[in-house]
Amino acid sequence: MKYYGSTDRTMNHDTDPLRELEATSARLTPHVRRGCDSVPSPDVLAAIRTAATRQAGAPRILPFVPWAIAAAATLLVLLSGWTLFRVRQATEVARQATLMDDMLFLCAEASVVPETIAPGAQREERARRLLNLQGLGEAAAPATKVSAESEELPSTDSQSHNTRELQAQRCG
Amino acid sequence: MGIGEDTRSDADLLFAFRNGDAMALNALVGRYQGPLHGYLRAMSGSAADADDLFQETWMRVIRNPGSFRGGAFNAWLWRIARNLLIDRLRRRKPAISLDDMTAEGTAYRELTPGTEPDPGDEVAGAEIGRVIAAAVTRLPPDQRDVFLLRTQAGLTFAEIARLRHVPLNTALGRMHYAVLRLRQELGGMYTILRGR
Repeated sequence: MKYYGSTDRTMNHDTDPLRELEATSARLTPHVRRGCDSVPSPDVLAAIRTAATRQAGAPRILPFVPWAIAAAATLLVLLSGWTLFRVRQATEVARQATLMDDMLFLCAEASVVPETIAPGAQREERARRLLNLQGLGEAAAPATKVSAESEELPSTDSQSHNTRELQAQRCG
Repeated sequence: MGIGEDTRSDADLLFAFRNGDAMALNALVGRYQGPLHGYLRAMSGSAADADDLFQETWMRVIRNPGSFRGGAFNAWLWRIARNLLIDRLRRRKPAISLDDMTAEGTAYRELTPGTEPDPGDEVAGAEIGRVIAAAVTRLPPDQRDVFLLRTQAGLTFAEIARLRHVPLNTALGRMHYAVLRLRQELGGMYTILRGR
């Protein structure tokens, strides 16, 4: 293209070819429009109008709603997972703490522990719980028996004595 | 179609349509129906094809107004129309040439609507317009496309270059050759046009 090549040395610098082309286009435009513009058939226009009316009346989903729903669902799943994890973790910690507490208590009991640390009934209960936790069904029976007997005995000294014997055996 | 005198911008009308105002789209259709249908008719060479393409173009606008990302609405509209036109032309195999003769001995070119002056038209302006329209249909397709995109669609040369995926100089060159060719075709009439 002779006029528009950037390296074209024949380019006429006195006139702006782009401006000239724009001016020619502007001169021709009304004539071209008068000659070339045409009208679509009424059926086509009616179809377009019907489609526009239908589309305008259709319920529209706001663009952010799907994103909000997706974000809420993701958040819900994450929160549920986190809560479940925390509950299970807390349960496990509590179980371990109870077990440790009982072990320490029993070992302390097997040694010399003053009676004032815990009342007799509480000690019985904790011993029974420990044995149940450890799955010592056969060992739980004497403990229960001791507990049952202890209810009939006026003093808790013999009950504590029996329990201590049993606990000492378990602790080695 | 109720055109009315809606002074809102194209983008405002499209936004109003997105918000449920069907009349806004009708106003847009009215604003562009002449140039767009004329462009499709001149490029496809068939009034029926132009009707189909015109309808499909606006259906796309109606179905997906959100794909308009700002800028010039007419450039966006013509991009849709032009893509549909290209698809149509690719699918359509030229079974006959415009220079072939019908059974009655008339060339198909003569039957192409809108390409010849209407003998009964007494309005000089309309006559010149029809002569130009006839000359435009004889331009090579690339030149015709650029010429109509500039004069009928009102796109800038930069928008035409973007739309056609060609360098700006190519678009300018095609326009230049189209004008030269029209000048030759129109002869003395072109001198009259320049004087107006």
